Amino acid sequence: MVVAGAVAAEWKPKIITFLCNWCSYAGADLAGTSRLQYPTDIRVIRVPCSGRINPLYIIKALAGGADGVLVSGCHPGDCHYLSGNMYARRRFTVLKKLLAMAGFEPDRVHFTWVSASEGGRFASIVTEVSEKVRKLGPSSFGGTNNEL
Amino acid sequence: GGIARNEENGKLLLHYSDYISAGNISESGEKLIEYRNEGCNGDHAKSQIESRNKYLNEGRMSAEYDLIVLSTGLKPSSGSSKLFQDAGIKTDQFGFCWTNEMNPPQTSVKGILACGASAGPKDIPETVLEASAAAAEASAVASATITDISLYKRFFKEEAEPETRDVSKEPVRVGVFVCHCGINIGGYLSVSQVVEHAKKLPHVVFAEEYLYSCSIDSQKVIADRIKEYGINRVVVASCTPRTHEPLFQGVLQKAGLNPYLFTMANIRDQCSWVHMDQYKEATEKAKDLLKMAVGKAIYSRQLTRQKIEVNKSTLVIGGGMAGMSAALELAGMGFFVYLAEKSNTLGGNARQLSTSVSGRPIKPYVEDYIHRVENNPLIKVLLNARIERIDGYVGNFSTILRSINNEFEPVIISHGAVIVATGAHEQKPSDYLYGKNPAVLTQLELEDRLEKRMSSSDPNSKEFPDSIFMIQCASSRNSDTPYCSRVCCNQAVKNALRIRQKQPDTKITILYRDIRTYGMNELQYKRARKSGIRFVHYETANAPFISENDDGSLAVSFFDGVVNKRISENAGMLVLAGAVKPDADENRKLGQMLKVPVNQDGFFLEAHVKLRPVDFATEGVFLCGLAHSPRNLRESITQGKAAAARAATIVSKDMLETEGTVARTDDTYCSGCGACEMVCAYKAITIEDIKKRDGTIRKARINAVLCKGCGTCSAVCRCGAIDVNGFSDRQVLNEIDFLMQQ
Repeated sequence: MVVAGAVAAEWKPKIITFLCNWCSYAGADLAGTSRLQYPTDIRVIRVPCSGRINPLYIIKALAGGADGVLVSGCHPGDCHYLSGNMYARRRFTVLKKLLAMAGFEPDRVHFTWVSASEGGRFASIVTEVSEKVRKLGPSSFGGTNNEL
Repeated sequence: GGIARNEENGKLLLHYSDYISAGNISESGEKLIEYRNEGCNGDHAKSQIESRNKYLNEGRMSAEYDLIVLSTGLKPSSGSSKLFQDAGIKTDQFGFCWTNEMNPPQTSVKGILACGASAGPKDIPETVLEASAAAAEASAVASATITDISLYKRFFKEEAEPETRDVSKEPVRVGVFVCHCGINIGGYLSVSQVVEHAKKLPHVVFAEEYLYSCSIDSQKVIADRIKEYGINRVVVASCTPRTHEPLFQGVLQKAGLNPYLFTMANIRDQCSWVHMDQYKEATEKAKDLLKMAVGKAIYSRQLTRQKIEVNKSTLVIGGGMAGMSAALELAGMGFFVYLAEKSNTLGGNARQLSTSVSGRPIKPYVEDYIHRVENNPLIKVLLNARIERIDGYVGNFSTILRSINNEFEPVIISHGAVIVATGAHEQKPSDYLYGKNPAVLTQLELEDRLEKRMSSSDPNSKEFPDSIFMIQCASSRNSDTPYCSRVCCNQAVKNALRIRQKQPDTKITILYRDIRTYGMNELQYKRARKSGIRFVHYETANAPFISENDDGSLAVSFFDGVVNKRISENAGMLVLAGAVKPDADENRKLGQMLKVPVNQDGFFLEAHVKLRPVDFATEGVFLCGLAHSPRNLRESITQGKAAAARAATIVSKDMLETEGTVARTDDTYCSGCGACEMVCAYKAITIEDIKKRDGTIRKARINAVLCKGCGTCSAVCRCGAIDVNGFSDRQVLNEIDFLMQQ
């Protein structure tokens, strides 16, 4: 669903980002304390665990017009709640296939693992994902009346 | 050097000398003659002086600047000298309070403790540590001397629990408080625009900005506004909830609101600090983040906290000086401690030390510590112990310990808090012929030699050769070990002075990159230089090189920046400063068990570098000693005591409150399928038979005490029957809605 024609010069992508409280959110905070700079496109929603993330949230985000979605949790084996990220991983593998089937460009949705001490990694992932989403152009969903 | 003002353009003129080996420059040229090589003829010495003078003259520079910043030091505050005098406590020559190196923060008067900069210049983390350590000592004294607490009740004003008003029937009224955080936010985005934007959002009845919203003054203003405007949902846009959520939740409680009606927007750590050059975009993002927080706040509900009983024992992992200090301090306060040590002795690295930084013998002190620990009825020591498993959470941990050599049967211990004191070791260097030539040692190995030498009764026996070289930063500050190991400069200076004391004719040369004899040890460094110990600076690009002569003796080749030549000298002994290295693999394993982070270098990562230096973000787990970072004995002991003080805040309580952000079910939608029960890592959900009038049905039941609120159950529920308080579906979806639609 790539928008045909020229992209508005003022288009600022919105990438809804789900970060788990114990690892990824802390890693993002560390990027801040370290004053690492990254693009302004992400909008963070804090969740207790990546396992909390219902696939509904991601679909709602995309249907609501988000140009991209980024989900980040603890590294496999390091989940603060022991196994939440394992269930998240399986869930997202299936969801990615479903989204592809529904016609969403794979590069709009990203899943990754960032630990509490990986401020640098967080900054580079955000930069990378922002790049990829920008290349795809604005989401063709737009519109504010898409009630799911 | 000096600073003058250029009269023509008003700029500041800085005169300075660009010396490479600045440490060796002396005022007059004669000093250099002592500095020449052995076996050098007169001509060589002369040419050294000549090239040196040439260099001195050519090294003089001056440059213009608009602003010159002077780094001044710290000195005791003006009222202190009288205070210390009145208290009768000893001060050092600079007016700082003297504290016992082996028993910090004790001053020269028993019962008077000193912490922070009054006891010497130090940074915030050290200050906080010393303060916690002092609190621990004071608690221990209080516990021992106070027999009837009711005698003192009249000194404590019981703060009445403020009445919480029930807002469930009220229309939603959101109050927004946006913080400048000094210039940390205000300098990089427009706070006033964020406030103006907030006013336009649905349900927002009030929005205001503050310079520092977490200050005592601002907290009071916020509480007042809540009452004034009938606010029943609070949004603060400032730093990170990971550090400040509890603080603002406290403000809500004082204002009579349930703490869970609070939401935070992170517009600093995740906005202003990471977009410092994009004022417009950062402002737009901050507005968005605020919108999302308001969206979430609207669906916040009043939540209740559960009370759980606390187990009053503590498990200390590691029997070195830090671990033992923590154990003794907790026992002093009246709490039971399990001290688990993986080797077969207590004492850790201190066993290898000969003297402290100021030259006091350490062994008797370490032995006294071990003796006190072993004979304390409140401390149970488990040697040769390995931790197999740690389950549970703050107030209720359960740990399985195994014995390495079958000394004891596997034990399961219950405890309320954990202190990690796993330490570190001296890394043996991989070059400079270490391990290949017997004359090459590490500083700790030198300490061992000095210890033996000191105890040798023959004053004439020559333990040390005529020429000794020491190389600092031998295995630190490189790509493998990028950090400074902190203890080695002090240790080298200390050991060099000790050798000279025993054998004054020994020629000692210390090759260094930067001398870091911080604090009062700078005086030792001056002493060392005055005593004739030679300090030669080296750059990594031109590092020293060690080779063996034909007879097996050592040849040290180093670059002398003053004469601009490489010089080679023979050495009877070479001492290397090995890096302080943690056991990264072991730490990572333990970190996983305790759910605490380990940084890239393998040290444990504290909750906050400055304000919570011995806490982990995970509740109930604390940290001290070398497991945190390289530090000397005094600093390790201080940290051990500080960790004890922090752990005591848990184990001194009879009950703790759990978080209200737990999962809840709705029987209307629950089909009793059991998917939630399967995925819960804490066994907090069970599918139970519920008796109804016409039979039994099966529904999920959640134990709010065991539930940690991760939400995995909620995401897996096909019926939408489980939700998570504080992170509910409606809240998350509304965050998305507000972002995309408002």
